[in-house]
Amino acid sequence: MTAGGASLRLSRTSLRAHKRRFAGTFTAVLLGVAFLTGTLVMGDTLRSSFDSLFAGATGGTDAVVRSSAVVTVSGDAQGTRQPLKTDLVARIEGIPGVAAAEPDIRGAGQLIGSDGEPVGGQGPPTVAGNWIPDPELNPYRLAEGRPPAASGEVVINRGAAEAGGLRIGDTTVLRTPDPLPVTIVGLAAFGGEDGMGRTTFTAMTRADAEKYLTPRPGEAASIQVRAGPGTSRQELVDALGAVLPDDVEAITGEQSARENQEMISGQFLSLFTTLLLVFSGIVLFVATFSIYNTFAIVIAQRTRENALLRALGASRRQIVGATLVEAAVVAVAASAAGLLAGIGIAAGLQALFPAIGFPFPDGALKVSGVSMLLPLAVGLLVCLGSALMPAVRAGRTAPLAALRESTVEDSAASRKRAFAGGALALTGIAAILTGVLAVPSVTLAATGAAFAIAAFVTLGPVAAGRAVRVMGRPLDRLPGVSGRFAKRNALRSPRRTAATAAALMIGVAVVSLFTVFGASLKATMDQTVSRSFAGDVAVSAPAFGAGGSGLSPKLAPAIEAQREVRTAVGLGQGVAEVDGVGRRLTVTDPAALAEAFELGEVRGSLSALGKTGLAVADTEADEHAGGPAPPPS
Amino acid sequence: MTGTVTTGTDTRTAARVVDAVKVYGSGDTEVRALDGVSVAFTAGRFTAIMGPSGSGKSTLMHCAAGLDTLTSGSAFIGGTDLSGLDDHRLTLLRRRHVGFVFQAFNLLPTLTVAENITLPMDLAGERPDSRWLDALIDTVGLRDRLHHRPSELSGGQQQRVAVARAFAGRPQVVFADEPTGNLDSRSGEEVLRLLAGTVRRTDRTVVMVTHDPVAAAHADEVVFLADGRLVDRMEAPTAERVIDRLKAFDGTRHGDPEVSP
Repeated sequence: MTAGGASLRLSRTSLRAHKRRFAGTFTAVLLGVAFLTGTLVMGDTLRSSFDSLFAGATGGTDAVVRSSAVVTVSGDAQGTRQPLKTDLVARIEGIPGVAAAEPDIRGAGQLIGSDGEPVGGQGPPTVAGNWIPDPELNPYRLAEGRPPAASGEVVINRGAAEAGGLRIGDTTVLRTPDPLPVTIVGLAAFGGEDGMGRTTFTAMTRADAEKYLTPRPGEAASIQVRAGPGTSRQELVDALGAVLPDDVEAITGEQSARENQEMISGQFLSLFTTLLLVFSGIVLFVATFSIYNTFAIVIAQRTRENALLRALGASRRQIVGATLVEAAVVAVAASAAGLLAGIGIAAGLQALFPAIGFPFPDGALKVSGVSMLLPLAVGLLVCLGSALMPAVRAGRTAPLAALRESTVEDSAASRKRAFAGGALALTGIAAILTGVLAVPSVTLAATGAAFAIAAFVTLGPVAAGRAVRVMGRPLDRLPGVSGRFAKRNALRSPRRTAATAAALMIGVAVVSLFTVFGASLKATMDQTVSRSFAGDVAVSAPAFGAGGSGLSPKLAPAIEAQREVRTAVGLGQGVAEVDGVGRRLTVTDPAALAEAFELGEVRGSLSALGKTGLAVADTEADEHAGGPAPPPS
Repeated sequence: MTGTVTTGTDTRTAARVVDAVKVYGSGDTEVRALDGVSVAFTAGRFTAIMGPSGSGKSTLMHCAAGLDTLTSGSAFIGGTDLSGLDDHRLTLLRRRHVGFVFQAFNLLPTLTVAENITLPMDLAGERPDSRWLDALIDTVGLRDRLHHRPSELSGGQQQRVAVARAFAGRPQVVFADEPTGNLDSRSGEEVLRLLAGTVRRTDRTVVMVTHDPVAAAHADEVVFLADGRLVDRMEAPTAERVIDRLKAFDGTRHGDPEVSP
């Protein structure tokens, strides 16, 4: 049997002897694991903080009544719901077990700060709604001042007030999107915090909300319901369900809170964590090259030691084992350090967030078992995986190599490698060309790209020799021997030269990927706009994500009324279910659109669309060939 | 302690090769390093293999010790035919039944002297015989150096550690490849006395490759190799007799009997 003890002792003593050489491997694994851990801990902590925040803020709402007609489009899992009639409130109040019911009227509303600039709008939503007088049903709690009592009076959340430099008594403008002069009479808190994430919230009287926030008065996004004593939440939901019309549903307060919280998580957390995960992935990927290289060098230096061990009776397995144990020790140490560093990163971010204006909910760091074990496992796997090839090579050392004075390196790049690399490259290029030109497919093109990278890594040792010979030519002409030695050293082990270059190659590839991707995206958009846009001037509101209030529908006619303007056409957005699938629609005046945009050939007539007609792009029509679609619901 | 000279099988044979042929390369570049050598190394004796450079003496040792494989013919350690063993079994055989002393780089620089001595047993996962080990350490005189690293020892001391390691597991045979090649004559003498003394006192078997007649004189018997063939054997050698024999060789090798004295 193999003796594990001997392998262990050899690894231990070798680690001690090669401490400095392993510093690079240690750092590479540490960084990758730290980013991974930081991401996981941060995500868990934010999620659990939001959990308790929402549970606290909406704890008084026992049930939420809303329309069951929902249109979801990709990128917005929550979807858009049909509004409810507010006269339902009276009917709900009459149901036994209901203590109170309040409509929740919602719309876009962006405040103008004291500096004249809009508050928020870069990502998180800017929301306006009615102030719910029942303190149990209102997720916002009045922190200062008083509730809005008259038209034009508003309460805003403390975070928005801080961001906009607004105080109680200030008069400012609320864009709904039509500018509405408002007076701030109170400041509100969400749960214990200044707001729900960075969402800005402006609350007005119910009458104002119905008048300014919804297209028609008497409509609400949902109705919040509080149960009477002795009625459980589920009983309340069941009682409501029995009475409500078919297209209206009731859910418990917990479920509503969970959905809201998922929305916040989706908007913010996923973007943030994806970014960090990609980063840690790149770090670990580059680390594999560095680790492989380190072990390849260590093994090459140790050829005589390993050969001596083989001569004295060490089995191949013992040599491979000793090398892998060495890698595992480095991996465990580096991963453990990375784990601590990652928790440190999370703690640092938690402290940093409030400083950049994001109200990070209070709460201790949440370090789950997964966020400890996963990074450790990944670190171990990356390290062992990268060390495996050099370890197997070490096991193949011939015992006789101990008797040679100097070790001979297998420096020749094999023909097999050239063929394998060439085949990979051809497959990759073919897949990319097919994926880009013949049948547009991201998956195919991405697979091709992966193949191409594999090909470059495989061909590295083949190319290294040639590249060094060509690029090293000027070195020969330098006086002295340094240049010639440099060239010979680089040539001595093309595999090692290539492995070193590969780490750098991956780094450059990642940077080019993002640069090219960004530039292409911009160019594509520019091209689309300039190709179809025949107008002279475009007017837009600076906003991003779910924020902003958009532009007033009254703006286009107002612009058109200017003497210098011939035609102005407004473009709005909406969602509708077409053929059972949620789609984003552009809403506009079709006749005017034709004047401002180059629409190309139009089949049918835009002016004949009427109230139930729909114009679709050529490609769309081809995809859904088979006659006109049924009217959208 | 001397017996009759024998080149055939013997119940007391520690290692032997029969019709050993080793060919390197092929075609025009073919080199026959061993060209049909049959020799037996009697147990309990100290045998030296001598011959000019390129005579095949190192190759003979490597093949007899299971470090290298024969092109044809067979090699035995005790009763085990090495040609029938795969790499793993060969490794286990070396670990258990063969000891080695090389010319240089005998010790792992990262292990202490004590760890180096017990290394083959550690690899096998066996406990060393502490009384035997103690006696051995006293014989080589390194008790105060047990926890030093090889780099802290002189060349002679390092070779003595290698000798202790070679005998530590009481192998059937110890192969020594120019064990004094890198040493000054005084240290070399110590190592050779150690080898010869251990053979005689504890009935061990040593096969030593050397080109040094003085070293060969410590052996019980010398076998002479030339051009890959066994050409002579000499009992109870002395340095002078070995030198004379080698001079005769040089003559025959150059194909000019007139030159030989």
